[in-house]
Amino acid sequence: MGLYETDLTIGEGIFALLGPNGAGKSTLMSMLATLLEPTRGTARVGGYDIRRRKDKVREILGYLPQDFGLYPSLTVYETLDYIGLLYNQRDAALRSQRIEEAIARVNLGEVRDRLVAYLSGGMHQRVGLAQALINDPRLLIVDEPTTGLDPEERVRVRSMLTELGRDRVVILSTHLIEDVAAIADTVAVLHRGKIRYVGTPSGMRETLRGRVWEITASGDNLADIRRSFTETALQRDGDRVRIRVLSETAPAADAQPVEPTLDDAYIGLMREEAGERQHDG
Amino acid sequence: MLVRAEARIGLRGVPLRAAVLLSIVLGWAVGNASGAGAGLSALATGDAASTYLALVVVYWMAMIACRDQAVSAAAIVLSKPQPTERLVVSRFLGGYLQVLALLLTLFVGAALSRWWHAGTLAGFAAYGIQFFRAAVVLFFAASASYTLALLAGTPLAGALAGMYWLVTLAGQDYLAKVYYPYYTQNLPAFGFAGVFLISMAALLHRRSRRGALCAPIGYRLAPWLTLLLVVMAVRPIIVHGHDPLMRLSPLMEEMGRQDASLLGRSPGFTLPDQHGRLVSLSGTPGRVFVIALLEPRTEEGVRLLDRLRDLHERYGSRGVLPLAVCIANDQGAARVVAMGERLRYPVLVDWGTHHAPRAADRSPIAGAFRVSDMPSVVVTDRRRRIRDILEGIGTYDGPGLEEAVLRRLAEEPE
Repeated sequence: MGLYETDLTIGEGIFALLGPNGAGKSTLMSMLATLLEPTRGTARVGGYDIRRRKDKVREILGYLPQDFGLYPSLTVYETLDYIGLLYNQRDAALRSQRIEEAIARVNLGEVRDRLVAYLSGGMHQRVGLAQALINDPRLLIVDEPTTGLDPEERVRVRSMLTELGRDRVVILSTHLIEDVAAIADTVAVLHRGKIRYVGTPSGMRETLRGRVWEITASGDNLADIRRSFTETALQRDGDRVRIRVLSETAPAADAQPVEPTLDDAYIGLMREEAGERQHDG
Repeated sequence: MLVRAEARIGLRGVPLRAAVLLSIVLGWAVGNASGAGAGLSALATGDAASTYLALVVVYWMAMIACRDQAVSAAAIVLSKPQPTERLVVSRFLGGYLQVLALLLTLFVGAALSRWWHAGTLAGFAAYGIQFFRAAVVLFFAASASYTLALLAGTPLAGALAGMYWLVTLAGQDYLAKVYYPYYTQNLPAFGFAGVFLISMAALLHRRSRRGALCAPIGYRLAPWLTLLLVVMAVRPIIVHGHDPLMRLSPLMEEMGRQDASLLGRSPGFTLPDQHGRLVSLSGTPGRVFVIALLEPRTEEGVRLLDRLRDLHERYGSRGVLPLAVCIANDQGAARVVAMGERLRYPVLVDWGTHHAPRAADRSPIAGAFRVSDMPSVVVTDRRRRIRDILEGIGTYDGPGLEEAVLRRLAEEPE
């Protein structure tokens, strides 16, 4: 997916890029990681232009791609040792120290001598995170780090990212709103290559204050409600269904105004964008 | 350090371990060659490495070039600050170390086979020469395959190097000798060509990854320098060599215009021996020459060489001088076989040898001696007149050769 010109300044803490599949998140990540050349415009990472001083950007960057592989014939330690060499860390003692720190940080001590080929999905992801930390990066880019992980491992990865976000910039790309809700300091919603929202998660929720309603519906009127309003959530409750919808005014006599969630805000943004396109068309 | 790490990635893998096993088996199969020394075994092992193993190496290096794509590690590797050119060269060298490990196991298998079957490792040094020769040949195969696969971004491109190898194996009737990477005289040219290819790969692969930076000056100069070295290495092969498919040497043509006949004067020649010294009949007058024209890669040829060594040891002090003329496209074969069989008499390199179906057509000197069957031996008297001509099995088996020498010594004691 392409990316339109975007003005964005990202500071310390966890910056989440939220958007559906194909929104352009990975494209932006790849550009910041110097893997993809922008056709126009540029970006600066730590003061270095990503087009001209790629070498300098890479020195201060840690990158965990969305889908990545590791060399199956190496152990966890050897993998990180190899990555250390790619970071030009020639001092074996210093490299070893950095590896041990990274292993401890992502809690991989028990499997440090295990071949990468025999790691579980969660451990594989943690090795991926460890390799991005070997140079103690000022900017950490993680692309969909929790996708495909079991709930326990997902929580573990989020905790690690929270910890890491305390003293560096972490850019997190995700299509999981719960990731953003859990750990992001700032969120940007990206859709079809354009930034739709930038701000705090709470600010994103506030954009919908007073416009989110909950209706308890029976099977008879459920179809009508879904057709008439933008639905953001649905929950079965015995024979009845509780449905959350977006509306400027009360959509039904028994509709109750509720606190907006990030899901509501995200769906609202997507719906607005779809409405704009329909209008433009 | 990066080279070692790159090598470790492959050395640990199951495919390389399987290849090592196959390599030992192949070495065992080809290493059991006849001869009093390890000459023929070393030649056969070097040839197996330069042909069969080279095809494995082509595949292996193409896979190494595209390894990151295969395991989806490219994004991780390329987001690191390691300069592209260093990454390209380190990865190649790491892969080449794996190739050397394969080559070593092939030679170990061959040496073990030789020791097991012959009970001796006499002439072991010949394996060293052949190992070095094969290492250069495989270096070229590795660099060609690696470069093509890397620049095209697919291992299939590396197969072009394999195609070249197959063409050289099948095209001996229509390809000039200069196109063969596994002939010793071509090693410098193909060795430099290998360096040229790798330096091109280092310079061109993912150029945009450097951003505003240029490649270091050494990497920018390397392709031009190595290309110059390739030209300098190829030129003398073409200008001073002899190959009907490329260029005929007036000197070799002159030698080929002579004609051997019984009781006639033996055709003369000046050829380099196993030490590189020029040897001619006129340079050692008054000897009984036993001139043998043979193919050093055959069992018959090696048996004859061993026979000549016996004659030299027994009758050398009485003026008998064997001269073995090696009819081989590979000009290094004479040296290997001389070292492997521990020969002290001159083993000459016939640099005019070329591809031809008939023995007499394979070299002007073979033509001058009217060779119809290899090996062929001419025994001269002390005035260089041809007194006996033996061909085929009679040269290395039976008493015929020794009787001819004894007849000469009886008629001309000094």
